[in-house]
Amino acid sequence: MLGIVVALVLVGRYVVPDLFDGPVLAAWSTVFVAVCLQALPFLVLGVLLSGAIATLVPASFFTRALPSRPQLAVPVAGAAGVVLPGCECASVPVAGSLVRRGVSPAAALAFLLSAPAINPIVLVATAVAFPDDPEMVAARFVASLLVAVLMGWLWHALGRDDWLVLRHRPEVPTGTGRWAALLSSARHDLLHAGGFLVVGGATAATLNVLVPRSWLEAVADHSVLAVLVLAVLAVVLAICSEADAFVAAGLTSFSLTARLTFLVVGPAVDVKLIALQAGTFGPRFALRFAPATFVVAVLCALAVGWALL
Amino acid sequence: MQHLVLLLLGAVTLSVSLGQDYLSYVKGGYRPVLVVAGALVVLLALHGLLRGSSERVYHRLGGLLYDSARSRAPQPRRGGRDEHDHQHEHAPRVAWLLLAPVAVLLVVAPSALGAFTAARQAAPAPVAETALAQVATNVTGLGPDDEGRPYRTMALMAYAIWSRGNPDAFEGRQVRLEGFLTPRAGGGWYVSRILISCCAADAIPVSVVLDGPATEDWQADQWVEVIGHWAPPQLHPTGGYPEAVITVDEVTPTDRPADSYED
Repeated sequence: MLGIVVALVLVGRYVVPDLFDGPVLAAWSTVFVAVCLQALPFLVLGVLLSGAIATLVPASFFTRALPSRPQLAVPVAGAAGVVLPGCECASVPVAGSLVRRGVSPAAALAFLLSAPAINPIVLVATAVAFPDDPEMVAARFVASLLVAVLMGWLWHALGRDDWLVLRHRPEVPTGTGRWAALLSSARHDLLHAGGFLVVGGATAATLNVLVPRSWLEAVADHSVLAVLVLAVLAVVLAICSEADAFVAAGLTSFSLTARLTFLVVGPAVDVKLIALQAGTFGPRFALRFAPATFVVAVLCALAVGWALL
Repeated sequence: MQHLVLLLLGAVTLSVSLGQDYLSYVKGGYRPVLVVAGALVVLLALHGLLRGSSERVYHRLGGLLYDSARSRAPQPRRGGRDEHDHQHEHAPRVAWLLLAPVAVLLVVAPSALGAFTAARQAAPAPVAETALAQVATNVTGLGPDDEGRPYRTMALMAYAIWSRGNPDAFEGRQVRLEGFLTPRAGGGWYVSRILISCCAADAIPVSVVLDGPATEDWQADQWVEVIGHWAPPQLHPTGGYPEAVITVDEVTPTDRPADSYED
């Protein structure tokens, strides 16, 4: 990670010669603090929920609630993402906890991808941001759910359990109350995921300040390139899924399909999320899962954009 | 030790959100969420600290009892201390990174985004067609002047929308805009504001061209109050898209407001 940051700084210094002059560093600090502060409440919600799943909800609940065949559990878990009103920072610890509780990884991953993208808060924000194009809300819902379900099935078909390394969670001493166990589990998750969130926040702030907006406008008229550029932008900016619609609405020179791609890729793959996934499921997982999700998300957005927009 | 990191993180979050500083980073309505999150982090930290110290006391007691028991009747080397050590919460090393945002907040205390971000804008301010249609058919116009003043104060975004959607509404009206100065490519200045919808990472700048002579002492990021008249849009010097313009009657330096982002 440190190597990546150093490389970014060196590249940045070449692209923006006055990198270390006041305004750049000041803007970087503001964005870095903003990303961390903004994500903290969602992370706290996520680790508390994850702690509750680990300690209060009996494992038998999930075996009863989800179909036993993973092929069927994937769409059910994907649709269940509607109920978690958070952004991606909340869903990663929850998904980790679900896997520990015996939910099949394919279903937990479908939940991980769908929850930040299709919950009511995100959909309302999208409707507010696109008053001229109400069909954007439906397109986002369909495309994101499709990505979640396809990735779940893809993991079921090709994924290997040894790619997924859930880090060791300290055993709670016997005789500890359930609430104390919940708090211990939440605290451990917060310390761990929080550290990775900071890595993601620093990366996002760096790219936010370095990528010149004029580069974007240069490709806006090119239909295929515009889609790919906005997909990459969604990865590097790592904007919270509850606010990304407003940024997409501002990219007025891009086609609606390109902006839909931005909205579908962002909650599924971004630098902050990759850091959190690497922390929760291990780097071997993140290295495979993130690129695959990126490709599936771009294809789903293109297909849905072509059909609905 | 990492419990102290959490305690610091929670305390800084609380102090930032209970004061005015949080307004530089997130939207005003986010305050209650931040306060609750900060309080929960402090709670988690205190719980960890208390548990840690009570565990240590327990271990010492247990160790004493164990040692005295062993001195009387030697037992195989199992359990005892080793088992207890495994029960400690081994906090991950990556948690130390949580000190980075805390340090930036305490040391740099970065202020709200300003002219640097506004100058990077390379596209027209995002104005929805529905908003343009609304102001075009709005018969009540801009609304009354500020009380006891000959002008009406407008948000920059509202000025940009009316300026495109219904320029006739400015007929015979004086307008007051507030924002910071941003240098314009190819000379001249803008008055700018930054819109955020969640946090500073999703900043969208809005700028209005100042048509009139600039004074020597103007600097980027200086907050000003501009009183003036509507003027026809001008094309962006390199981007070629139209930008809202105000003909300046009077520019007065002001202090940066606590909540500098425009809603």
